[in-house]
Amino acid sequence: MIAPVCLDTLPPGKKAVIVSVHGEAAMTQRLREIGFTPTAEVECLFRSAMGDPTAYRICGTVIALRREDSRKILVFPC
Amino acid sequence: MSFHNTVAGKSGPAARSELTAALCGNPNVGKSTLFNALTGLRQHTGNWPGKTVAMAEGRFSTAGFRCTLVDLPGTYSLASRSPEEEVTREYICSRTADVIVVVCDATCLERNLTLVLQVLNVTPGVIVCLNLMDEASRKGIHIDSRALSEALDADVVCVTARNKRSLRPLLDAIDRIGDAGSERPRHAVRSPEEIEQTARALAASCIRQEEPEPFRTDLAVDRVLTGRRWGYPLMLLGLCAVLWLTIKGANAPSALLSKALFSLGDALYALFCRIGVSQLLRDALIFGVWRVLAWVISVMLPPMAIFFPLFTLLEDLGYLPRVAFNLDKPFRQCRACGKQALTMSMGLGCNSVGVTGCRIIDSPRERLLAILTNSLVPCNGRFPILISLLTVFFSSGSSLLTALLLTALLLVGILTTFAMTKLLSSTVLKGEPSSFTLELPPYRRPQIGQVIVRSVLDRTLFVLGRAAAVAAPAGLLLWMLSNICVGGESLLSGCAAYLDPAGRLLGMDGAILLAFLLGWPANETVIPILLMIYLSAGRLTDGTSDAMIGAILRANGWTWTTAGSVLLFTLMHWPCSTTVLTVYRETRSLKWTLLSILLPTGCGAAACLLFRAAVSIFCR
Repeated sequence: MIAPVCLDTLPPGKKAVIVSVHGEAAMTQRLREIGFTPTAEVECLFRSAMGDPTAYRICGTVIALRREDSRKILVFPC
Repeated sequence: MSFHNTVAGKSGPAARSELTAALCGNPNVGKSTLFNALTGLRQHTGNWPGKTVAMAEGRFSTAGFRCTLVDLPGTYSLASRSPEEEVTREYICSRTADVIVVVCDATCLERNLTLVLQVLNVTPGVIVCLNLMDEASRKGIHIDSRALSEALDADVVCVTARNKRSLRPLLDAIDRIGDAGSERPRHAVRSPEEIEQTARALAASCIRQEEPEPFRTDLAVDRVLTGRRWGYPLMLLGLCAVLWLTIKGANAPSALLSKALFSLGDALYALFCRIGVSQLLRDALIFGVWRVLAWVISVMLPPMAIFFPLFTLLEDLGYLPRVAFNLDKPFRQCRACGKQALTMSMGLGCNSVGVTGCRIIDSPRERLLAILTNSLVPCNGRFPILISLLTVFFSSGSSLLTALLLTALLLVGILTTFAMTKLLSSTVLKGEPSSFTLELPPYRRPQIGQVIVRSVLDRTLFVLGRAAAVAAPAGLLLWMLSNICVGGESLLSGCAAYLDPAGRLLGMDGAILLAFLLGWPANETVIPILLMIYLSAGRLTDGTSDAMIGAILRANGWTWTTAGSVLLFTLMHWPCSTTVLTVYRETRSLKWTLLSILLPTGCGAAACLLFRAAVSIFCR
């Protein structure tokens, strides 16, 4: 069985399925509204010119997250 | 042009009754575009989330109703936290509107459905409006709107807000709801988890995604525009290109306008002579009011009429969020938010707009940082000063060199913004950078015709109107100051002499400092005021050519070091009066307003002192 990893370790071009979202309530709620919910599929697209933040495709849109925030999202890489 | 006329023809206006409709939806789904298409109003639109930060109201008519339309700020959910989302939630829950149109982005419907379900929960009279249907079908996304309508038990209409003809179904739906009247919400209260599950299930049953997957072109473009190698160089190149086009393109029309307006002024003067207007009055009107006005218009209008559309094109295209994406890391290192890059870019157009735009930043601390540092990037009112001085003293007329130097000067402003943000966040505004999410919307082909019309009509004429409204009385005031003499010296030169020591200290002179002070209501007027002080005759020369400016300035002791100091001080000094008022309106605090004046002024003074010291060390 594969262990879940933090979203920030997912390299560009790879997809994963979200397991859980942690962190403070306000941010988890915002992430949930945008589509970062358990069982949703997320794809790492590209990193910014300075390596952080990173753009992810979630729910058909492209959302940029900083490393500290994406670290709090656990995923199963596909 | 207005929608009013095309739809209203069917029934007499007397037969219609009143109705209030509100547009709500996720950020950047095209609410403002739809609002404009319906009402014919020109609410400013742009391709980035958070464009509408306050409620806008307009009017339009359907076959049966005269409607007031309210454009609510974008929100992801009704469980809101930021003040603007609060506005939306309270408005919807208050049931002020008879019809709530939830605008959805058809290209990412699943996420939008959460809000749809929440709104259906709290209010009746909901229309689900699927916007960007054209983009969705290009991306191979098919939506079964009938199935969605049945599942939601609500009206679902498909539109493309940019295409007015496609709005018909929406108008019909508004009529249907208006006729049916209000009722209780049709949906049982659901928990957030239930709403999420329902949204996912609905998306699965009503949306079909054709292979290949969308976004591939966007992705390739993004990899270059935000890439390690090209991200920053392309950003700089883009900035430089916009500035170069502005400078290059503005030269000829500027000269033409100036010639026309000044000869018209002479003609008016001759006319006044003939009809016997008193010498005093005609001097005041022509040499005071008219010439300052003519100056401001001929120097300001062409660069604005070029810069604003170019900037709006970039905005429409969706490039600005990429800039924020690239600049987030440096901003975070200053403990601020990448979205500050967006407000900084807006400041290039107008600092007052930039300050209002800071509402897109959620954290109050980071918002204040962005507000306080906004005027460190020069606005459109200050560009002409910079361009004139660079052309006269540094680039000897080469547009390309002027553009390069101007870009360098802008970089100084941007670096100071970073430095001051860092300084503030380690002193008076301590705190850690907050979490942040930034949506990178798909690139959209700009609506070129509309961009030009909107930016020229709305922004250019608006800003110009404001400048002119200030310039005309300023011209009169100046004329009086320079013609009222106390002890053989005009008031104007008296003031200038009084300010001279301070001016000299900063590498300038008293007249320059006085011009900056008198130009407080509108920076556009600084150069004409300055020339008027130098010419002390209380009248402006006829003509605005760079050669003429150069001759006058050099005759008054200017060298390239004076010009350098003035450039730095133009870049960084007190924000114009409108901006200061806006800062007060946004912060409701005298303390922060005062700091927003002192901070850039301090930076400017420090920069001038440093520049003077550097010159005296290296260029003996």
